[in-house]
Amino acid sequence: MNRRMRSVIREGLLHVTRHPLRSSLTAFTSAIAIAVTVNVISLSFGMQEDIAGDVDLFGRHTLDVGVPPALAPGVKRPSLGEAQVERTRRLLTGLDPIVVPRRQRAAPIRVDGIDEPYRLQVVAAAPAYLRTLSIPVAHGRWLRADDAPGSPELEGTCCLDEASAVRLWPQRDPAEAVGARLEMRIDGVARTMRVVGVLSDPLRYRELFETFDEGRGARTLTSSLLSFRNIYVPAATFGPGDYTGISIVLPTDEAVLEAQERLIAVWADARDLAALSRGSLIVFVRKQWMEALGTSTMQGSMVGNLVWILVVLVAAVMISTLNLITVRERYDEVALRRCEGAQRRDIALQITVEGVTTALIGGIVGLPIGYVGAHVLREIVQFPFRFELRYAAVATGVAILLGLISSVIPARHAATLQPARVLGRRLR
Amino acid sequence: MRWLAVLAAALRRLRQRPVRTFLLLQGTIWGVAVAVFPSAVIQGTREAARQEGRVLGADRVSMRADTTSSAAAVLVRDDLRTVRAAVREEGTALRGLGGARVARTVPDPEQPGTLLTVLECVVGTEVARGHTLAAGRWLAPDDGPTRCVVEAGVAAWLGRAALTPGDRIQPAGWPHELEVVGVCAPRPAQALRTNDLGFDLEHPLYKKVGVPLLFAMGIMPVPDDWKRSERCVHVPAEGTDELHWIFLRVEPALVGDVANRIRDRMTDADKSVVMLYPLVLPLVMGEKVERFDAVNLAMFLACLLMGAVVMMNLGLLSALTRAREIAIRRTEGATKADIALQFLAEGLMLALVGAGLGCVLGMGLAHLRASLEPVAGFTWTFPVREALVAVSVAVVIGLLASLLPALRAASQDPVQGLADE
Repeated sequence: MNRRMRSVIREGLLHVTRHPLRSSLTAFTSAIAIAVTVNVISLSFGMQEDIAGDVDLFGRHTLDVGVPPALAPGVKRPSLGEAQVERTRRLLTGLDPIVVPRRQRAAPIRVDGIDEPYRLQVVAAAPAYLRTLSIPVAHGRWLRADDAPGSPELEGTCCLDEASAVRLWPQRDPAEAVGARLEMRIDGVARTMRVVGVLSDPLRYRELFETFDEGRGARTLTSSLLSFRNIYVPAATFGPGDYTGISIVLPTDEAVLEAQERLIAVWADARDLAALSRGSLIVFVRKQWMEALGTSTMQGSMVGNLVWILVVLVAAVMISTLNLITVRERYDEVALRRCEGAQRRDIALQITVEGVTTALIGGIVGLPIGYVGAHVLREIVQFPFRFELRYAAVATGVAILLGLISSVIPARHAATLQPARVLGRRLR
Repeated sequence: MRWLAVLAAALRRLRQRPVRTFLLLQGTIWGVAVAVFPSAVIQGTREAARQEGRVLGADRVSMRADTTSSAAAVLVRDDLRTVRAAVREEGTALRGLGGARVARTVPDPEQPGTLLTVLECVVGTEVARGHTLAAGRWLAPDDGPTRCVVEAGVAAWLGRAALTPGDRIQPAGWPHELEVVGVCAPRPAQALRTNDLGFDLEHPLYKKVGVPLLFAMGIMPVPDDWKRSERCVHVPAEGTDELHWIFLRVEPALVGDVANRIRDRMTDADKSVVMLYPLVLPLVMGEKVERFDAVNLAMFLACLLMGAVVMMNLGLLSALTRAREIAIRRTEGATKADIALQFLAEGLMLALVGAGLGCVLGMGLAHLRASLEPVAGFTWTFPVREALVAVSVAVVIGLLASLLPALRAASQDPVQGLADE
């Protein structure tokens, strides 16, 4: 950096300190904008990232074959039994699939100490079912092939989702659910099941999700599965009868695509409404669903981004107006500097340095304000606001940008000033 | 009079530089807009749901058996009792309850895709489906299998000008003639575009945003065109116990709670069911949505504060640049209070104009937001109370922001002010 540049920058910084009240008020405007920015970014980006991570546990390489969630009037429910499981295996020959059929019902569950039963999804499947998910077992163990299925006479074995454990024993730690007993009512007959393991909860925002989840009643059993409020029991717990679905795990992304193609050639895509009128089985690719969920959360976070962009723009417009008016007051100073030999770009640089410095100082002040704001809002709204250094870095960048945007017009204005005209008018 | 003169002078000054004034007002404008617009949408939608609940289907819940369950997926008449008990558990009033079996669908050979649907109904189904009567009466308990109530479009489908009570019809393939005892009033266009989940099917964003969102939420499409076809023939359910659908109507704000309660009770009775009801309206009608008030308030205050700080800054600056004007006015006999008043009046005018424009912008945003929502009944109204509060807060903050410049201007020494020049 040459000397001339340094002196221009020094002049700019000097001006910032020359009017402390004015500068600090301008910086405060920038601080508010940055506080909002850091808050909204932490909410929208953070949540979007978290959800993407959570959803990844739901089985990126898993496909499901199932019965259509609704049928057109007069259309018969397609059967889904051993024959279809065999057919699936045959169709996927060579792709190295794990094929796990499951039966699923909703059932009232009772435990000692509660009067009102809770209704949870009961999933009866072979131990390989865990392979369809990437969720770790948090406490105890997963189901084994030799686990007792449970009957009216004999105590059975089951595993729980963490959310199910929390709901059944709200006062206890989920770890303590291991070894506990619950009563499950199916076909009007109660049977006792002993909990041997608890799966981790993949939904970090469960509480928030469930508070605003008005659609839970409209979900079928199959789609309720991914709410992870289930009880897993050995496959033989339910008597013979149709399966609810077949989950298929494949080793790679390519195999998922290939499997999807082969299955859809025989059955229908889950998003194909016409399949419902044909009564065909449907193929549901979890990855596609995850992508749809990703798009939806992205759309939500885009709205959030619009909010902070709007606030920053409003701040930019106002600071810019203010700077413009301030520049008018400094016509004499600018004209004199030009006479002293300062070039147009020196003047523009000086004004820009002033703007960026003020905005940056404001931005740095805004970070702790944003931090406190995030905590206050988290308490009030119970939204997962949080503060991370990465977001602070983005916000600092935004502060610099804010300074730049708000100096463009004033800097141009000051640089294009005719010194002779200004001073001439003065001296007249 | 003096007050008026001061205010008029302040307004004149703002009008001298309209662009600058407009730019400076941004904080107040957006702040007030942000405060007003969510309330506008929420209140408007709530009012619409309450007043036009029947038309929009905001008060309707329909239930069908979950075909994906491995248990028997059949609803029967007895289930109506479970539903009634579940609804009344919390003292909720039932506006209608009925159930139907889709007994027959008859395709129109001339118009592929259009169906005539014969519904075997329990008594009360037409009302539970949200129909109103144009002529005749509803089906009654002692009506034999030869009576029917028809929807408004059946006459046209049969190639007749109109159907009136006493007419006889025979849908293709139906074993005997039916005597029309009642004719339903045609439903408004909005109702025919709205599905059971409360989405406006003809909204440009339904397919682009609505369907993917539903898919992401795990809610799959249901083939229910027949419900909106206006070509249903309701006949008494004689001899059949099975029901494909159960319909009920309750207070719009309660549909979500009622639907989930029924689902629980059906689970207890060993039946897996799927409930269809407007998904978004209950959320807007409920109190949960008010959790966002704190976020709106934060945004409102942030914008307003930015506006106030910039206004204060500019006020301080103008107290300096207008030193000569102030000095001259002081020598003309204006007191310190007059000078302070002039600055305060300018602040007041700025806040008032900004708040007014903010209300207008807020309504514009509300209109935009409502039009982007593929949900039937999503609309807006002017929220008088919230707007008044927002304008008052904006005015108070505007006055506070001009207090410091006013004091500074008033305390300037006129001799110094003139000498400087």
